[in-house]
Amino acid sequence: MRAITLTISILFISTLCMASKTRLPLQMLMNTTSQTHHSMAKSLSAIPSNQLSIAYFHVLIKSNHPQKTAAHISTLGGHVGTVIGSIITARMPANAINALNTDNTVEAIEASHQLIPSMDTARHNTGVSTLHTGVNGTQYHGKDIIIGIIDSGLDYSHSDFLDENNQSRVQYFAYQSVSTGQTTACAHDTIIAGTCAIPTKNDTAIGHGTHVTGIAASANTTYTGIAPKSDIMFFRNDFSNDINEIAGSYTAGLLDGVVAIFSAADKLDKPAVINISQGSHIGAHDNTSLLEQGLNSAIQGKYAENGKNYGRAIVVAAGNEYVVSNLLDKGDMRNLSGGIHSSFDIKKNQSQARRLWIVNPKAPRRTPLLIDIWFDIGQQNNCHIAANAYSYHTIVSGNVSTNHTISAIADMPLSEDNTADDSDTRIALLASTDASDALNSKPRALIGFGPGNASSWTDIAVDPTTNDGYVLDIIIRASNNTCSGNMWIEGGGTYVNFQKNITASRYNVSNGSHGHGYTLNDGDNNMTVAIPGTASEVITVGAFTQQKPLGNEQISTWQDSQQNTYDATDITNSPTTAIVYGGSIGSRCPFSSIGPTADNRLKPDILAPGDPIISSLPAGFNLSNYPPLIVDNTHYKSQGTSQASPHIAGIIALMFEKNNRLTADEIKRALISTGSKASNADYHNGYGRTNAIHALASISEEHDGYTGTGNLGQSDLTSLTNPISNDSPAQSSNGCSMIGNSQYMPFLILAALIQFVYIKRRLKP
Amino acid sequence: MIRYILIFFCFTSIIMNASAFSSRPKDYLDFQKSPGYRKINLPLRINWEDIMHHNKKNQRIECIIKTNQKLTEDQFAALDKSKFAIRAIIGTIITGTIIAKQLPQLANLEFITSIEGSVPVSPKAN
Repeated sequence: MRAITLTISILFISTLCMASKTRLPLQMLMNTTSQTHHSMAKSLSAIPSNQLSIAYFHVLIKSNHPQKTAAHISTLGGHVGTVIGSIITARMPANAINALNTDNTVEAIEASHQLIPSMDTARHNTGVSTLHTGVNGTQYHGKDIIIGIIDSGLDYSHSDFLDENNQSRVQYFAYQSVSTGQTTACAHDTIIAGTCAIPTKNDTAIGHGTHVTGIAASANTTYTGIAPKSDIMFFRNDFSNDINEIAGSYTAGLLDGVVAIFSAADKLDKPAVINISQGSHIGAHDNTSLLEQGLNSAIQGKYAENGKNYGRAIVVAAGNEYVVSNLLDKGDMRNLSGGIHSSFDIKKNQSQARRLWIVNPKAPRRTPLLIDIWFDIGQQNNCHIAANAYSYHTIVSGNVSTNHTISAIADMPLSEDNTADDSDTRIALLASTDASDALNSKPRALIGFGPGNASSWTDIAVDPTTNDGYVLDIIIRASNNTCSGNMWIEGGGTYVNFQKNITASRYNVSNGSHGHGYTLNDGDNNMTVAIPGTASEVITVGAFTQQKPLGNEQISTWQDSQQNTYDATDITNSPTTAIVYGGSIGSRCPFSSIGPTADNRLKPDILAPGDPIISSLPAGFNLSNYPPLIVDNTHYKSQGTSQASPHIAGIIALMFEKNNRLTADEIKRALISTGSKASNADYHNGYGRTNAIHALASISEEHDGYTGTGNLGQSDLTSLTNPISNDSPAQSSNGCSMIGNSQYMPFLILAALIQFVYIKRRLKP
Repeated sequence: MIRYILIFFCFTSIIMNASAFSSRPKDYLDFQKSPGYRKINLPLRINWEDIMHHNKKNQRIECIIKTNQKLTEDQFAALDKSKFAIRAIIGTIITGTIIAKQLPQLANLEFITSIEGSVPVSPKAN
């Protein structure tokens, strides 16, 4: 039935195309919307036969004798697909087109490829295009389902977010602004009236959030999102464009956003799925942080059955912290790059170290870097830590010596509140310990590593024209008994990670007072799913490299606005401005973080297309330094698990459209049981690539949960504030509301950031 | 890129105005001895010590707290009295801000089991 529906759609469009009789040049063959068999054959005749022999085309053929034509197609090496009336779909070798052209039964031949770009490719690669076309006579577009996005910002006036009446589908847009001490929110009525006071243009922070939203919910005819008729709710968790504010999104803001969106969804009486494409590696990665606990508890709605809330789900990007060693340009560097994580298990009276390195001139994304070390429960009396920072002039050959030591923290126990620091003009260090964390009872140590009196990593580059830089050895000593645990780098990635494959010849730490007596062990990419993707109740999404355009399973390319083509899998031949990560089509993207969690749960849960992804480009977002990414005036290419997770959020919206009584557990089960690795999941791929067709087929149809069909009004927002709560009536809390209260100064977020700055502030002059 | 430039300038300006210190302030030492101190996670401890050292006692700190049950009216009042500004409530998890000098009072409320500093999250697009 599905095939018939699809075919009818194709034939309908093809009939229109054939009627236009437009003649197009050969290079447009793959993109043509209409081409007579004569012009097509004429064009093909210009191709050398040896090239024609390797090409296949999907074609639509109009025949006055379909049975004869079909037989002829087979004799020419073609494969007949479907025959309906006088129309035949077929896959033909290019060098057979001319022969078919001479067949008197053939009235017209048309390349069918143009139908696919009009839907773009990700929806096809996930099966969503079929759901849009219709399954058993029912189309799924996410109508009256809310897709909530918590991200950096949104161009809410973008044409991709309009409905068929050219009215905005954005129901709610909240903007946390520390400079005013207020959370401003606009509802649907003010947005369509053009009276929403929140700025949307020239906001440098809105690129990421707008791109993510477009993937889930764009209604653009070419770059259509997964749920193009869904309602959009957006919570801006980013302050980078507010003067007097400090850039960044924060964990508390994620929880604020979840509560605000689900509360607004309750008001509209509609199902809602929230996408979070942000994360951190500060934390134990074991489901115990208050952010993780909060998200696990937040999956609540106004309705429940047998104690289970339904109509609510949260999707989180897995993270991009898997080191892509192929991006490093020297063989030895590739061999030495380990990962942002390392496990340790050290026997009594022994020491081990991990070597963190920074490849200049690639500045780390955090200043300073933080190394968060979590020890196993009860080992506070077993473990000691120390740290040595080195200037690293010969990073490729790998030799460092104590002559290069520039900063060090001596061996210190994991007592309740132990702190030490050291610095020189280049590198500053701080270490602080906690004997037992309040949430999981694990001992913890934080080490900060950043520029000293200088201002930035680039300022302290040994030689920015080389790959020289700095290294930090973190030494863990087991004193009374075994010492074991895990450590992560916050701000790490391909250019900042723990080394691996460090042989004795690569380092020289045996002379002098620092580093004496320890061995260097490997960093790795395990457990790199970022928090809150580690939360047990959310659906965590990794990325896979998708086929693009369709028609050739070996190609993953995109074109910029000048029609230049870039291969997402070809690192060697792509300009740096194209941002290419390599990988192979259909496989996990090389950067996509992997599990398991620190408490050994399988994550990520599922994979979705993450590269190359074309989606909405907000007005005022400057990509002039990356022209290959600009596809047209309103769309650009990006990549990441940020791009993968909104695919799943959109698919969940379609699932809610079929059954609005689904619980988060049921949704996850449907997704993972229909993934490409449903029977052999692993912590690289989770349950494999998503299949939206099968996921929807696995659930029953129910519509008696949420019944809302209306729009949110500005007056509805009153009850969503002061304070925001998703599980209880608003209770009075005099003086306890940030929202609408200007007494809370910009220091709100500054305070949170200062915990990182602090490491530098208390260093010796 | 602009995000990181902004971060860079913020760090720079703070560092230029910062002075080193060699001992912990009395406020910190008193708090350290109280039961509430152990409820605070390590990043927040570091943050609070620094704020108090620089005598910014009225500065607000963004955090996430956990309570031993859903808040009662009396507990709401206790949070109010401690100057904790609630932003969002998810069962026993609550987001909000606290004036730095009030953190010990908040942490020593019996019904609060843990306090986590709010930390930055990064976008997951490469």
